[in-house]
Amino acid sequence: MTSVANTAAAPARDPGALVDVQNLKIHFPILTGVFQTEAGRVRAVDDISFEIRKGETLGLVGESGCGKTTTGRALIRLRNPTAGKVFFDGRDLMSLSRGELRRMRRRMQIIFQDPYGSLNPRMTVGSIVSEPLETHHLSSGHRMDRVRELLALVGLNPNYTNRYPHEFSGGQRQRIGIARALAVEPEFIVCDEPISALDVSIQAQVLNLLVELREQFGLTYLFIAHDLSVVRHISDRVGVMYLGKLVELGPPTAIYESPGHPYTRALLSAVPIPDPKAERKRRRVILTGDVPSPVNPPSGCRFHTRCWLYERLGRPENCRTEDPPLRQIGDDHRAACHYAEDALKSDVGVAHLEDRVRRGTPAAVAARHEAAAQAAVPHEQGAGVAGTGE
Amino acid sequence: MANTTQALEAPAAARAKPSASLWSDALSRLLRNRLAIVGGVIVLGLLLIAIIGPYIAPFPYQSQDLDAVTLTGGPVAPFRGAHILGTDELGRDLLSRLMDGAQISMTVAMVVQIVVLFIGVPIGAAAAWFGGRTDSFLMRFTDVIYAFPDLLFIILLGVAFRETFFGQAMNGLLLVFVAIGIVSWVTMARLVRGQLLSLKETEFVEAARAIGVSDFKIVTRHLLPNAIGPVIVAVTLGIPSAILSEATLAFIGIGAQAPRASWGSLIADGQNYIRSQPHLVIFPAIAIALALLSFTFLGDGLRDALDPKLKGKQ
Repeated sequence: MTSVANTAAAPARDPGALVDVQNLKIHFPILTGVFQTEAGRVRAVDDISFEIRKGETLGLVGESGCGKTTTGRALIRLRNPTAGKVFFDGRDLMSLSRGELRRMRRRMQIIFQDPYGSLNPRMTVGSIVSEPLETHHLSSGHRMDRVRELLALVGLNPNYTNRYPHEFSGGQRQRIGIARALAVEPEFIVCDEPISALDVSIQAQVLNLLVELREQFGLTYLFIAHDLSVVRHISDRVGVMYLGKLVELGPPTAIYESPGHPYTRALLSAVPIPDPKAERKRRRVILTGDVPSPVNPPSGCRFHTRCWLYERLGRPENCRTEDPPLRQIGDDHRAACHYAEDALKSDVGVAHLEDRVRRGTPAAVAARHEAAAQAAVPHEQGAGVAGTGE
Repeated sequence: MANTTQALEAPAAARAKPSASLWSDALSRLLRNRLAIVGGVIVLGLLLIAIIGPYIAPFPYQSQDLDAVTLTGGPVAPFRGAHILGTDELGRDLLSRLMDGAQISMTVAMVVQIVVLFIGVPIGAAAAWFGGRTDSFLMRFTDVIYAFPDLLFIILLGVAFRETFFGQAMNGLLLVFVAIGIVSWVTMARLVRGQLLSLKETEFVEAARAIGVSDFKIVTRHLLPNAIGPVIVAVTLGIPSAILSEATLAFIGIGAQAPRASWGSLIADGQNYIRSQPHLVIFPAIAIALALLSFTFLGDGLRDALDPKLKGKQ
């Protein structure tokens, strides 16, 4: 069922994929005037393909406005794609009937960024958490017991069922949102920047909770964030988005230590390092200019207008004319750059890592990973996520 | 706030005190607002007078005390004899006429707001729900009505229909109700549209969709309960302007026909004696001011009480 005509063009499909995204495009029309004519379209997500494997956590990073949230919503069909397909466990979400989609909703859920906006202020915690049970006719007869159980599961007092959301703190509200998502016993949860709006100390708690729940229920996550260190900590693989495109996808070691896309390197070079020695070695690439408008994206590679590698290589023509496909550049490592090999050879963004080992080779990565393990710990503590469930 | 902190500190085993439901919560907040209570009591009093006024009034509103008028040679002054608030030049008891006027004003208050709800809420909801062209069309239509001068529109309507059955129905009042309602729904439509538009985009509505909650339940459980507070407030705060519009119209002679008199027409009648017998203007004016103020206080109190984000703050 998964095999469709355009699979041939895309990288080989993973049989272990729970979610399979193929050439997904989501465009929002810009309507103007009395007659609502289309003046243009925001290409929020423009032709991306990737897969999320069963039981894995895929981190998705990128600047605000790059389409990561829209992608997340499309994966559970809260947004209808303009083109392309999303398969969940082999079934095309767009082809489902109303009833089938409703049943499918039991298997996929979402946790939101804003702990204040994601809970209906007019409903008690009990009715918020029991709404999914009611909708799917679960635990009838002992629904309130199940609600208490869910609240306890996310670390809340089970007796809080009669309280209203505004009586809780941000972290507690986020836990309520998690309990609501867990109520239907889903397999896949889109975590849409679930900790970005929280205090640093609370971030660690909520992140730990998500990790614990993942272990306990074998959940698959799409973890959307803009904090690179948090994503590294929680993810099995990381995807990087820029202006509606997936520019790089691979395991955290590859993404953080030998990134193959100049944009990823630029992002990494912007992360401050809480170690003065390493910080001095850091080589920064300052991206000039604003992110181009997704209404009228640059031709060819979308990053070429701000790309340091493009400048360094003497502005090669194919960057301007040809949209680079996401291609294999290493073991389970894909990047969308015509000159990914040149990017790999550079030390931009990773110069602070051990520079005696030659950069880019898998052996060097492994060796460096070993050595950098200690150095990475204080870094992660700085983000407040150390010692999570390990 | 104290409540919450206490419960959070209480041992987990202790059965947490159930929070009051939202409406009883709002009521308790309303009851703490003294100004709103005063407003509410006066509003209730006015409603009571509107309903049972004819039975408790000292005189029928149209009966003339010709002896008293003959004796004074004009309107009878207040606080003397049987007529507590005096009489007009025809010897009709002012207090009784004011009580009858209360009936007209309260009816205006209610009927106009019902008209406003029935036109404004569906138009606003449809604009927000369907969006796109429906939204543009409905909102441009709303803008046109909004841009038209209210009073001029009502006067034109009044003049045009004065001689017809519609203009004569309910002693000429039906026309006034409908005319005021037709110009007042605009604000309600805009309010409801704005409310639903912002609610439609909230994450809790997205969450409900992700859960698979039906559209109908999303509207009834998530959208409407969150929009109802501002709507109630708008209705309450719309009442004084409706009362005022009716009084204005009555003053210029559109609406209630003699011998019935609304507060506005009482002022119009009394203005001839404003120097010699100012009570004929002052008492109806006090009645109007009292009604406007009390509805406004009540509306303000409701707004504060129904906004859960203000909960716990004093």
